[in-house]
Amino acid sequence: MIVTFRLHQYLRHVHAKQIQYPNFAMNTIRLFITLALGLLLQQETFAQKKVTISGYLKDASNGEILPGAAIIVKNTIIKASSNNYGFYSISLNPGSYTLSYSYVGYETQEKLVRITKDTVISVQLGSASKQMNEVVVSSSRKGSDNVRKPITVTALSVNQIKQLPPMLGEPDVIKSFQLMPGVSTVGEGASGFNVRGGGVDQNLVLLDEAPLYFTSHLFNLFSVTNPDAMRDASLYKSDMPARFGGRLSSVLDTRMKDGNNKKWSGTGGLGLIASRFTVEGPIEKDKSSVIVSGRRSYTDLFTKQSSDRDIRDNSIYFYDLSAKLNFTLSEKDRLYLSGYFGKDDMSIAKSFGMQWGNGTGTVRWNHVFNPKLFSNTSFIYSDYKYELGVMNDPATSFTWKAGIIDYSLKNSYNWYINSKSTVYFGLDAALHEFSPGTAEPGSEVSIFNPIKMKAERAAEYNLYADHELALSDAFSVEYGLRYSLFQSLASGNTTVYDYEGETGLEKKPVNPKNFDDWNTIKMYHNLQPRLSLKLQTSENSSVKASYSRTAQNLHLISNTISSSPLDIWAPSSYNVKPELADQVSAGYFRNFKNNKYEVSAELYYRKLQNQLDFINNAQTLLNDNLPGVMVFGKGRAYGAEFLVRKNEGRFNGWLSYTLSRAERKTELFKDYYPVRHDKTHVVSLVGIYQLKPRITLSGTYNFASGTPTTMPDSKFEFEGIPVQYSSEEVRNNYRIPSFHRLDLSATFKRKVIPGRKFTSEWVVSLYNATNRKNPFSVYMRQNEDNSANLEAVRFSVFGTVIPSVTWNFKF
Amino acid sequence: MKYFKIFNLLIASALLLTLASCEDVIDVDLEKGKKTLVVEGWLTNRPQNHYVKLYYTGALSDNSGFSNLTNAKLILSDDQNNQEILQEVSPGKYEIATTRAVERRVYTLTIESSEGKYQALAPVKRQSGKPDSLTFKYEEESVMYEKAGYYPLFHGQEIEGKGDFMQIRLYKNGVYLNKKNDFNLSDDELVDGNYIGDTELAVNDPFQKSDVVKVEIWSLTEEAYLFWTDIRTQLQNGQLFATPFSNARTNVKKTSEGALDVVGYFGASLVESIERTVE
Repeated sequence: MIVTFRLHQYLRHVHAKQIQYPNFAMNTIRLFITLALGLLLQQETFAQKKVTISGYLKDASNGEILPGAAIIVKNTIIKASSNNYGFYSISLNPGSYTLSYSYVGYETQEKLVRITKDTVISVQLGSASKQMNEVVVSSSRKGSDNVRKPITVTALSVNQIKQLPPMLGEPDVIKSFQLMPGVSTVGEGASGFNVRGGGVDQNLVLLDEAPLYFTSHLFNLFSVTNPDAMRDASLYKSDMPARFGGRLSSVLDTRMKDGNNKKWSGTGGLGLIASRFTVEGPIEKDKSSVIVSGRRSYTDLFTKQSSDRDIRDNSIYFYDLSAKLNFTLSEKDRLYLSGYFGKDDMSIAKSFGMQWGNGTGTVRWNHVFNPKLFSNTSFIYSDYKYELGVMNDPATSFTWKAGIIDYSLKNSYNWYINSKSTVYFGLDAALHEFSPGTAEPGSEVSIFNPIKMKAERAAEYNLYADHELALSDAFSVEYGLRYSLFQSLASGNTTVYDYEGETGLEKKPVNPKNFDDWNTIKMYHNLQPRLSLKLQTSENSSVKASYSRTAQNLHLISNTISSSPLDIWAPSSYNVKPELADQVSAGYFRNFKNNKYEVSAELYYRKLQNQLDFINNAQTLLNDNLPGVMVFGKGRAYGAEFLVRKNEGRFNGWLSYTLSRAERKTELFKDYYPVRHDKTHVVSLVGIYQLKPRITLSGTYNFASGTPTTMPDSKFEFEGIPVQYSSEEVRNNYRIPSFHRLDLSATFKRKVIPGRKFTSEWVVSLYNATNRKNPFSVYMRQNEDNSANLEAVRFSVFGTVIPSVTWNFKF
Repeated sequence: MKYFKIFNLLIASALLLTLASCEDVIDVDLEKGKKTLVVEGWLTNRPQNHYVKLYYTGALSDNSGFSNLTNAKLILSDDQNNQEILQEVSPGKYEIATTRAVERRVYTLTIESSEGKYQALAPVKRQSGKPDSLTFKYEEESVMYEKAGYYPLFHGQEIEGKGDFMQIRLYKNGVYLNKKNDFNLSDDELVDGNYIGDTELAVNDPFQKSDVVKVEIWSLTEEAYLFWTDIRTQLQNGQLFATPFSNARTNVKKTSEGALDVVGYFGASLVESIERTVE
C-alpha cells in the first residue's frame, strides 16, 4: 500500500512536469490502486486475531533450502508453499493443527501443533528413500502448482536435466528447456533460445538474480551455467509476474545451490570436452556454507601437446567458476554472497585471438521483519565483455574490446497477509554502461588508427506489486503492476541526432543536440499490468487465463541468423523506443494419479510494438550511424502448446507439441512476414527409463518444421561474378527443410559400497544418433570450378553422429 | 583485405576445429523472378575502350547465358559538357570509344530503351592508395592458409583525408581473379593517412612460382564501394552467423514511368597498377 501510494505520488509529480503521458496509464493506475486497496483492506478485516506460523524448509541431509515445498494444514483447505528462499508463512486462528510438510522426493513430515501466538517452525525434510534412484523422483515440483496457482511455471529439476542425453557429455539447462512446449531455437548450434516467437534477446536469463547477456560457451555448444552448481531453473512464459520485467518474452530464473551446511561433499565429472568439479561444505555447521564449482574444457591442453605446429598453435577453451557463501546471521537474517565468472578464449595460429565472458556478483540479504513480512535485498554486478585481437602481422594487428556493465539494486518483499492472500512488492534500480567497442592498434607499425565507438549509458527504476489472492476455493487471481522508468543518459559529452532519408536506405543524421555527461537525453515510462486468473475445475484440474504487458529497454543489435558473441547490446535511447508486448494466454491444466501425470494445453496471442530490425545490407558492427540503418516495426505471435508429462516412476518423460507462428511487419515490406526463428510445428519426445537399478536409458527425439530464410529468385553476372537477385521485396520467403534429431544416452551407476560415500557413474551418449544432416540454413554459393555459376547449399552444424562418454562422481 | 574477413574466418575456424559442420549441394525449388534489366559498365582512365552491357536477369540455375537488350540509345556525358553516344558493337554491348575517366568529373549515363529510360551518375574520386611495391610471402598449408603458396603483400601510402574508398583487383598471368575470396575492398575509416605496409591481400588461391601478378587499385565512390561489399557479402555468406540475403545496391535509376526494374552498376574509377613476377 505504501509503495503504491508513493508510486501514485511520484507519477503525479512526473505528470506535473508535463512529460507526455497517456491517460490510459493514469486510469490503469487509479483502477489498480482502488482495486488493491479494496482487496487488501477487505482481507485485513478478516485477518484480525490470527496467528502466524512461519519458518524455513530445508533438506535434512545438506541444509539446502526447499523452494516450492507444500505446507498443508490438515482438515482445512489452507495450503501454502515456500518461496525461492525456502521461507513460508501461514496465518491461522489460534488452535491445534496438524501441519503436513511435503516436497517431491522427500519424506512428508507431519507436525501436531497447538498455537496461541506467532510461532517459528523450521522443518528439515529427509530424502524419501536412500535407495531410491534419482530417476524415480525426477520431479517437476511445480507440476502440481500449475494446477493450483494462477501463475504458470515451466520447471525442470536439475536431476531431470542431468538425465537427458548430453551433448558431448555436458548436461545443458537451456537445451533441456528447448524440449518444452513454446521454447525453441533458430537452429541447432545457435545460441540462446526463442520463447513463443520472441527473439533470443527477449528472454531474461537470471543466475541468482544477475542477468546473463550471452549464455553460450564455445560459440553455441554449451550453456554457460554448470548444472552441478544449480538448484533449480524455472521458466515464466505464459504470465510474467510483475516482480519480473525487462524482457518481452520470458524469464529463465536459475538459482545456484547454497552449499551443504552439514558436511563436506563433492561432485564432478570428466567428459571428452570438459571436466567439472564442485565442492561444498559447512563453514559453521547448520549456519553457514560454501559451494565452489568450476568447469573447464581442455581441448587446448591436448592441442598444445601436438607435434603438429598447426594444431599446437590453435587453442580454444572455456571455463566457468561459480562460488557462493551463505551465512545465517540470526533467525531473521541470512546473507548470501555469490559470484560467477565464465570465459571463452580462442586463438588461431597465434594470429587471431578472441575472448568473451560474463562475470556476475551478487550480495543478498534475506530479512524476516515479522512472520508475515519477508524481504530480500540484493546488490548485483554484471559484466559482459569481449575482446578480439589480431596479431597475424604487426601491420594489421589490433585489439578490439566491447562490453556492457550493470549495477543493480533490488529490494523485494513477500507479505503473507493471510492464507489466501500474498503480496509481492518491491523496487529496483539499475545503471547500465555500454561500451560498443574500442579498437587499438596492436603495434607501432600498425596501419590502423585507434577508434572508439560512442559509449552509451542508461538508468532504470522499477516499482512493482503483485497480489496473489484466492477469492474462493475455486477462483484465484494474481494481478500486478510494474512501472518502469528508463533514462537514457549521456556518457561523456554526447550528441544525438534525428534521422532523415528514404525508407529502406541508410538515413542521414540531422538536427544535432548536445548533452553533457550524465544529463538525461530521453525518458521512457512504461506501465505494465499483469493479470492471471485461475478457476479450479476439480481438485486436479484448472482453467487459466492471463494477460501481461512487458516492456524491454535493452536491445540486441544483431543482423545475423544466429546471435554471435560479438553482438552488442544497446539501450532504449533518443532514437530507439522501448519494445512492448501484450500477451493473452489461456490454458487447461490437469494432473492425474497424485500428480504422477500432468497434462496441459495452452493458447496464446502476442502483439509486439517497436520491434527493432535493420535495412537490407545494414552494417551493424562498428557503425557510428547505427540508428540510420534501423527500422522499427510491429510483430505478432500466436500458437498452441501441448504437454503430456509423466513425472515419476521407472519410466518418465514427456511429449510436447507446439503449433505456432511468429511474424513481423516493418516499413520495408507491405505485409507481415515470418521471423527467422518461426517454426510451424515442433514436437519433442523425452523418455527416461530405469532399466535396472543401476542402469538408466534416456532418449530425446525432436522434430521441427523448417525455418524461413530469404532466397533470391534470379541472378546476373557482373564482370564474371555471379550476383544473386530478388525481383520482389521479400524477407524469409523460403522454408529450409525440416529438422529431425534423435539423441540417446545410457547411464551406468557403479555399485554403492556400503559405508563409503563415493559413488560414480558412466554416461555414454549419442547425439544425432541417426546421423542426419539437419539443415541449419540454405543459401547460394559460387561454384568452385565455374566461378560464374551458383549452387544451392545446405549447411548443417552437426553433420554427423557425435558420440561421447562422461564419468561422473560424487562423494 | 584480410582483416575484413576476420569475423567469418574466426567463426568458421572455430566451428571446424570443434564440430562436424558440413555443406552439401542441394536442389532448391525457387520460383523464377520477374524479368529485370541489368546494367553493367565501368569507365576508367586506362587507355582502352570501355563497354556498357544491357541484358536481363536469368534463372538461378540457368547457366546458358542471359538475353540482351538491343537497340538502346546510350549517352555518356560529363559535367564539363562533353558527350559521347555509345555504339552497339554486338547485341547488348555498347562501346565507350573516346571518353576516359578524369578525376573529380561526374559522368552521367542515360539509357533510352524499349524497356524505359534510365540514368546513372558516376563521379570519379581521387586515387587514395598509391602502390609503391608488391611482395609475396610463402605460407605452408595451415588453419590460416587453406592452400600452400605465395600470398601477396601490398605496400603504399594512404592519402590523408577521410572518405576514400578503393578496390584492389588481382590478375594472375593476365586473368582477372573473381572468386569469392578474391575481394579486396577498403575504406580509409580506420587507416586514414597511414602507410599501408606489409598488408596481406585476400586471394582465393595463392600464387605459385613464376606467376605474373598484377595488382590494380581502383578508386571508388562510397556507393560503388557498397555495391562491391554487397556482392562480397552475398558470396562469402553462409554458416552459423550468416547475414540474411539482400540485393546488391545499384546506382541506376528509372527516369520514365513504367520502366522495367533495373539492377547493376555503372561506375567510374581511376586505376593504378603494379606488376610483379613471383620468384
